[in-house]
Amino acid sequence: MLSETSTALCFVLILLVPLAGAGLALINTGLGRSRSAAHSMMTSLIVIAIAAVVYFGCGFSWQGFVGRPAHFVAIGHAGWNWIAAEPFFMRGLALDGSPASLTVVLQLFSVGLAALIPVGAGADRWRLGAICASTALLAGLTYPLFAHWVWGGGWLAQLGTNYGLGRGFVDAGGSSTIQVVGGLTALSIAWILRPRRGKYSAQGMPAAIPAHNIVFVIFGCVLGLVGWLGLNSAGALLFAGVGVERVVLIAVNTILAAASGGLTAAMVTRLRFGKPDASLTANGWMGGLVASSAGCAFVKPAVAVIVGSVAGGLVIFAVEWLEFKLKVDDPAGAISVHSVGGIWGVLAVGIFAQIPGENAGQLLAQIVGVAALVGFVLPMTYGLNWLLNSFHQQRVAVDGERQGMDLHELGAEAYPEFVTHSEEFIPR
Amino acid sequence: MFDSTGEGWGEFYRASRGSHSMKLSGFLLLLAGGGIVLAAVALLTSSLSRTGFVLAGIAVEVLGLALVARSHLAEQGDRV
Repeated sequence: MLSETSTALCFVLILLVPLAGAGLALINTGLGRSRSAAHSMMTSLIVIAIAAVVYFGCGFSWQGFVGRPAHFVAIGHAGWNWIAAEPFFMRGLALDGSPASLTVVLQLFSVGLAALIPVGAGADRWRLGAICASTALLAGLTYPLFAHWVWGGGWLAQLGTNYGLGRGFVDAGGSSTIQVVGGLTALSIAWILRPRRGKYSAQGMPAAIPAHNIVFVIFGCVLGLVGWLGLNSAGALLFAGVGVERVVLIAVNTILAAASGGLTAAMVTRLRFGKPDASLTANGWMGGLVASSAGCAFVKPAVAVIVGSVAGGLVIFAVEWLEFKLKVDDPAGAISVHSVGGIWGVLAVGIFAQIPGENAGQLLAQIVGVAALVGFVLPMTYGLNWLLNSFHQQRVAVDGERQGMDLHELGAEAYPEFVTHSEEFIPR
Repeated sequence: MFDSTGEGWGEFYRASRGSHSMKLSGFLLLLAGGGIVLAAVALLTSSLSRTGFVLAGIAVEVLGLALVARSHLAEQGDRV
């Protein structure tokens, strides 16, 4: 049970989290084409709305909270807690400031954040109707299931008590539950949708489709930092059981990881291309934030710099590898930032973190968590989206892609003043 | 690619079937790798053997991931 001060602080911190969603929406929009900008922002709003409503309807009933009803499977001497057993529509949950109720508020925002990640990978070609359906699957099934394993007292969280693996899988701010789950869904979507028309030549060479508004992107990074400060701090208070006194350390670590991720990306691109690349620097910054989440409460500031720097470098190479080698068209770099950055953040906990209590076996617990993500979450999210694509085509028609998602799906452009309308020049 | 005799379609069909089975095999390997990791955690007690089998499970997952990626590359090649 949290003290009154902790509850109040936690609630205020949770209210910062929507800014992370706003930042991500701006980044996705800025890195896409101008003719799909309104569609991207509108989609972001709809995604956050659907994620919250679906999570309220059934998501929380699968995710639950530590100590609340759940389904167990007995394997050997241990009971494996694999899914929660809460009633639908959050019935029976008192919204009274208890940790479980604060968790619900945080999750209503963070499930939207996870659902925004694939929007960046499917930019310029993902239909609005399909996005809505895919978001419902993420918020109603994939996200709550994995979040239960980690944050709801599930089998990954119990690896410590059941099998002596450190403190079990630790992820204070959601590097895995939010970021990697969203990133793997983004990978599935990018595979299912295939690249944008004109992205690859007949010989398989990628064409550069530059970001249409880098100002959005950079501003999105700053908003993202504020949101992440809330996300990491509130997550650590609720899921890692740390005291309020750690919030300052968490804030310092979050800022340092983002800063070092962005600086590393700027330096790497400066060395490789002669000039720093703004969009890749933004990706490095976000990669640092993503990687900071898992261990934000358990590492020293110097380690946070290392974690952020490695994330910033990894993200740059992952972006290139996906685009050039695997021919995955990910306009916002969402897969690299959230999957690669998130997995690194999770592993960094096992390598660097000093968690009070037993630390032996912590790295193995973190590796088991990564294996669960790649081995179970990826097939699940791909399978669900593949099934959805079989019933409801996810990719927009050729004309829609050529015309732009704004006109094709919304009937209005984001920047109408850039088009010369003849009637404006007719004397009245 | 597609001539009037329809031979091109047969080639496309065979290529698609091939990439689909490759994709399916890849996802089965991903699940199998995850299963090995779970089994290692649940059934083995020695730290060394548990670590070894967890890493083996990860290796199987990497193979699966490579197959899935490869199958998508093959599908894309058909469509370029």
